[in-house]
Amino acid sequence: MTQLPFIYYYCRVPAMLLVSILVASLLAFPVFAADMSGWSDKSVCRLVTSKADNADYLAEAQRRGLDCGAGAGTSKKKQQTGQKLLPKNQGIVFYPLKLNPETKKQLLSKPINKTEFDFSSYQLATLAQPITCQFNLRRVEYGDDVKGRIENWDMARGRMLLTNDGVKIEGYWRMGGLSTDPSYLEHEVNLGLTKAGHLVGKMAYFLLKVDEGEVPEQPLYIELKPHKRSKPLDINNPKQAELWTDVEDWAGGVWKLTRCK
Amino acid sequence: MSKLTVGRRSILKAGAASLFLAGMPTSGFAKGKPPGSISVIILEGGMDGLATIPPIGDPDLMRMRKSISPEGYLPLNDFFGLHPSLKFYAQLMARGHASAVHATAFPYTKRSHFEGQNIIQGGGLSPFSEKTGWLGRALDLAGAAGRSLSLEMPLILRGHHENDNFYPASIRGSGRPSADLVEMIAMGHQMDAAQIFTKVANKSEENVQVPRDPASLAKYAGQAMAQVDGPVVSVIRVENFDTHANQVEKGDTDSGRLARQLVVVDDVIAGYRRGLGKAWDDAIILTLTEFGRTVAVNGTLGTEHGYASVGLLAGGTLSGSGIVTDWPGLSKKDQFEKRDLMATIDYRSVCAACLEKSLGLDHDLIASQVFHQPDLPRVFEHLFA
Repeated sequence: MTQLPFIYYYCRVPAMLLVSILVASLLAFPVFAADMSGWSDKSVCRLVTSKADNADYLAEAQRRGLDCGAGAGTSKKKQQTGQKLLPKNQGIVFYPLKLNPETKKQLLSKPINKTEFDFSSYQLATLAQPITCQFNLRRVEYGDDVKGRIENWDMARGRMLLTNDGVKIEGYWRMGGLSTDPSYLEHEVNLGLTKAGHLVGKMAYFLLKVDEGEVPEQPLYIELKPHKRSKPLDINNPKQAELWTDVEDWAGGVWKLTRCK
Repeated sequence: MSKLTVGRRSILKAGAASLFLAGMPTSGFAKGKPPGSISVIILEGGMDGLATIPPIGDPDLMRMRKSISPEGYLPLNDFFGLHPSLKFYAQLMARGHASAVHATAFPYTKRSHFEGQNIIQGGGLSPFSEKTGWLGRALDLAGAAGRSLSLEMPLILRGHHENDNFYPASIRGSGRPSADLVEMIAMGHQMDAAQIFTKVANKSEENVQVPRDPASLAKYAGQAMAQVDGPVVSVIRVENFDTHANQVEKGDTDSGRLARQLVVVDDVIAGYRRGLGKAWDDAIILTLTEFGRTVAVNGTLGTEHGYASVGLLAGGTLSGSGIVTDWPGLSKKDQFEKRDLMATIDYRSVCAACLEKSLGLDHDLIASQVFHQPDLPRVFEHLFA
């Protein structure tokens, strides 16, 4: 058996220990990489330049407000977003409003409307001529029956005019309180008719009845959507429809459209 | 005909807001009417300031809060955005009538709702150390304490003088008690008690019919404050900011519990604006919340109790629109106890500035006698100068 050199026995253990430490350091590097608070700006920039796709390095450079050269990822990112870094610990600073001029113009001119609605997700009907229907609205209560019980009185009634420009309601609420103000049906209804014959959009809606002397209730602003229990209006042969709407977990409503023409 | 008038939901909704008015003396102000009015909106539960005014210029925001940061924010400047629910507030900002103070808190770090709400109303340094409220003490100093309208008096308005409040009852006929009956009861009492019943008799003739939602109450408060010798202070409470779960809806960071509550805040501010009319020019409205939320998101798209938050201010007395802050940063090492947004501005200083502007009190007087801290920093020039 060959005799191993004397030095081997004395160096084997420290050498293995050294190799282990090196391997462990390489494995642990990604963990330590997140905390770069002790690194110099130069080191951070060098890493950004050499590994431009590393998000941690980029973020650290951004946080420090470093410009690591034209080739560095931070510069590219800055150009893409135009974002500036929020400086830290500057004392109390007033950061004035710098609105985009177009946005500011819109904000100053546009009234806040609670019935604002984006119809782009629906295919709205294109009507050859307007459709007029009589309607009544009844409450569906889900307290005793999961299928709901349609109450035998009208919450609202009147006439509905369906056009390509939207839905106009000439009628009145019968819920007392603020609902007696006709402006809610005149100005706070933003509905459209879909090709499938459903009413969609937003409107002011009075769910609770208020008697004389009681505290009035503000309307809810609900969204009308196609409902699986609805019997939609046939826009090619409009006669009648029954359109369900969910309002709260305990109650909804049913619009009955009749004598359509 | 079937109908539902008072149900569990109605009661729950009714509990969502209360209005308190103060500083409306029956025989004129003791020291002349203060130069302006101050309205406080208490946001109970701990509002998430990092979602309300997202610091979009801080790279750690999206790294740590991408799942709950509103995507549809309005960029206010290079560094801050505004939650899309605050539509009316955005319009006020565009007009130079709204500002926010960020990374701010009362000096309270224990994250308890009960203690925190006591601190922000009492204005003391430790919970339950004050028997009166900072607004009530300021009213006393301004000589404006006197009559108001109420059933229950919140701590914030309690001073040494008599106050009461207003809240619309929903029991049939309760808004109009029999004047004769009340008068008879008044005759059976003496001194102060008799005066109170006389006041009730007078109020019963007012026949006030106001919806009890926060926005309607704010409009009513604004209208009352706009009157000559009307109240100079109002307080409205809005609940449900404790967004431990579903702060946003999955897949839609612009919706969810916080978004809904911010719509309420927006409506309240809009209500004040409409009610105040021309008196808006002399008004200041500010929000209070007991604490902010954690920087990190929890496993249910919510956040836990934190430390600093944001204060929203609105009114014609502000010198312009913007964000006032000494930004502490959001990285782990910058966070308070490695979890919360650090507070760098004492919100009592903001309250003091609003009192100075609206009630015409000297800052040193407010610091020493309202907040019991003579060296309280003055931030007036950042908001009103």
